[in-house]
Amino acid sequence: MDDLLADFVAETREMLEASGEEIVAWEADPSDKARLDTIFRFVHTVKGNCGFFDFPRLERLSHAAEDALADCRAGRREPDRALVSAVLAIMDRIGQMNDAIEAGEDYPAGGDDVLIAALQPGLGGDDPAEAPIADATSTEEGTHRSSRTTTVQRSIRLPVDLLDEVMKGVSDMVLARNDLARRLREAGEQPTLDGPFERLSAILADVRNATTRMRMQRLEHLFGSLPRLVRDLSNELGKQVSVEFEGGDVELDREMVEMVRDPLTHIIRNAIDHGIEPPDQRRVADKGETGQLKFTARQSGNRISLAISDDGRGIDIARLESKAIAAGIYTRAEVARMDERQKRLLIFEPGLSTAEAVSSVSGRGVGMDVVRANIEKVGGSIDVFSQQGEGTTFYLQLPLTLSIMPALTVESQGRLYALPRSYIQEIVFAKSRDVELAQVGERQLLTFRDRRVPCIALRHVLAGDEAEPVDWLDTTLVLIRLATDEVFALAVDRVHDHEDVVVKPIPPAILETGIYAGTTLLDDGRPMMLLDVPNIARDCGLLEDLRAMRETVEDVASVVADKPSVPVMLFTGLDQRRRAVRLDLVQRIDTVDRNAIDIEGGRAQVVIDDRLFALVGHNDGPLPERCCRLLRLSDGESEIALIVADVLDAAEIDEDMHAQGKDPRYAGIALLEGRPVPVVDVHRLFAEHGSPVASESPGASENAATLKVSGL
Amino acid sequence: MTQALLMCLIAERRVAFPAGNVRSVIEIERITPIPRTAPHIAGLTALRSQALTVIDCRVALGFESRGDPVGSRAAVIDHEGHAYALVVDEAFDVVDAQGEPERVPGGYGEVWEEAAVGMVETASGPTLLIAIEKLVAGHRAQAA
Repeated sequence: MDDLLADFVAETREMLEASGEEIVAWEADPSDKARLDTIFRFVHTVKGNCGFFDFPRLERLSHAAEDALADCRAGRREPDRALVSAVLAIMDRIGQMNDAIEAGEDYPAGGDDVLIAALQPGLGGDDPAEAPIADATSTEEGTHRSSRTTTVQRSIRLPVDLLDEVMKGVSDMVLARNDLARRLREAGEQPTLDGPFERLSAILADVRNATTRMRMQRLEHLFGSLPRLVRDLSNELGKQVSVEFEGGDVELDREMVEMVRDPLTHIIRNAIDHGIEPPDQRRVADKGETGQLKFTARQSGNRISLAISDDGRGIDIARLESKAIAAGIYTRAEVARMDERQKRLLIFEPGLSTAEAVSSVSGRGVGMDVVRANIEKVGGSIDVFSQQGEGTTFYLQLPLTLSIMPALTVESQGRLYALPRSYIQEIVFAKSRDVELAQVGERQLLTFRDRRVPCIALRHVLAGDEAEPVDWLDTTLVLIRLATDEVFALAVDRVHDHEDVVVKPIPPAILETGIYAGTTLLDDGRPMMLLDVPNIARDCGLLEDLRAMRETVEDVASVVADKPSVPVMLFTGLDQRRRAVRLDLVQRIDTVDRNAIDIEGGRAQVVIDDRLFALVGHNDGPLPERCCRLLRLSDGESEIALIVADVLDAAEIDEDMHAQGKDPRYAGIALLEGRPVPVVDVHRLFAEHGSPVASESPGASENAATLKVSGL
Repeated sequence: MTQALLMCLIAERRVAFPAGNVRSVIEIERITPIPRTAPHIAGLTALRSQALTVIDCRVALGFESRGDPVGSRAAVIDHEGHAYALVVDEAFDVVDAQGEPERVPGGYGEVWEEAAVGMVETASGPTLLIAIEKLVAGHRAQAA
């Protein structure tokens, strides 16, 4: 079955189960307005979803029930026992049809009219219509029940607490594993234990992955169902709408994804129905015939922000005002006192709708109040901005109950912090020769790639005025690009590692510092703080500065064309770390026997095809036992052999990475797919180890031995 | 109805927390300080795979800290969805309160007044019942 359809069926069933109690309560007291609202929302949602799936019978039933209930809500009609029974019968029928849809069967035709007719007012008292309804449902039930066994659903629902418990257990296991690994290492090699331990580790890694997937879901999954919804709605309403998505890779708690699905659907319905104009009106307004609907998701701090914008006609504030007054929600005087934002927020008031006519799509002002209620229920918030004639944007802020985030660990004054990798553009050493530092007043500026960007030191952010003075030349600069496209550099003492971290929320007392967005645990179980990058930028007053500077930066940048990128070869060194070397310097990849390598003191050589080469890279870790992989590097004059654990791949990096770094072994650090990769300074290797191409035989080793060799 | 209480020593005074909120009592082994937080927040420590916010109760109440909390006893509590480790001078037993918290005429002295729920009678004598939310929020005067 189609995923969307399965969702629909599951949702309908869930809502039916949830409203069962409400109905009973409503029956006991038909004037109970809260119950009425709940049931109304149910039929309203079913109606909306049916339109989208093309279930005309379901839609007709739910629409009829909605009409009757809407009359009650508006006070045009008093709910009575007869109405309750009629609505109940319709809900039962919806449930049966839902089962049939799930089983992929056709529901027996007929009987709907009787149910709909029963909704008509004036059948009060000892309702004569009640009997036929009961018949209609009970007779069909018999024939229907038998077919229910063919259900194919292969999913189960679990309490979130249980999932949390499992996840916590797995995390604990990983920590226990790490502890055990340390002890095993200390105890030395124990072949009887090492094998099973390896296996345990591998299994645990799989289990950890699976449990993570249990909770987390990419927003893509949610986005994936939207284009069809948009297409169907716009077809139905005779409008042309194109959809655009950004940030589908943001991961969100599965529970959260489910919670925003409905509100999002409502917002889309509203945008297409009320926001985006028909093509002819759009032509008149000098817009393209096709309306734009854009979804942007971003992770900022420990919240996810989701923006849904359309380029439609915008919210008519004046009409909202008069509606609110007409509906008796606010008095004219109250509305007059409101500021623009408060007026815009009227759209979230219950019982308000700016649509002139009730359509089958977005209906009667149910929707936006429900949207807000649902978002707030999960601890989020919603805001709306609108420019009349230009469009409307809804901003959803969602909490991140649990999230996995790629992060870079950086060090400042001996402590580790995590930076969300999504903000990181590049990492450069301050000493690198492409970096120019300048001080303008108190502000430290960095010029890199012809861009001038402000710098802040993490040390200052963390220690305030008490910070020890920063030796800017000794820092590593992390270039950070904010969601607003503004760039600044964060100076840290060291850049460590890249890893995926599980971010947990932090208590209010820590949150109020404005520096941290969450906590995470390092592999050894130590806690580490995740930095709130946008907030830090804001606190340092950088946001405005940046905006003002952007133009000058663009001026500088426009003079110089984009630098070409350089192909590199990626490999892992004997220490299993990833590095890169310029591809044009790699002559070939050789595999030699361990015996071909001769290391004595600081001197290392290898024989390849009866020729002797200086060997580098062997100090990074233990040599392989038999076959050794070598990269033969040449600068045209001399050749050396770089021993590696494994050759990975070719990739492209920016030429400007070639800069003299703090670590003399590397020309710089490139960011590849968001991961830092040191680029080996090959010219330095040649300067130190290079031997003339001419050394023809092992006999020439005397020559080679006189070369200055210090190892990579 | 009587309430179970965890008896502790903070700043040489016997105090009690509602034991229902207390998950366990641990010894702080390692602590990660968090720069720029309020003074009563000593940092983070990990209890298995969970990070706990370490609160120095002495500082939270307005007393002088005893210094590095490593090696100190701490009560692990859950409060409004977050886990905290409340560092105390010492942690004793869990006892039953013999009655409801009561006010003592004249109060408990300036420092204790703010964080106190009231006095409770226990088998080991009258004890001051402390409001956890006050410890978590920290000493107002210092925060200002």
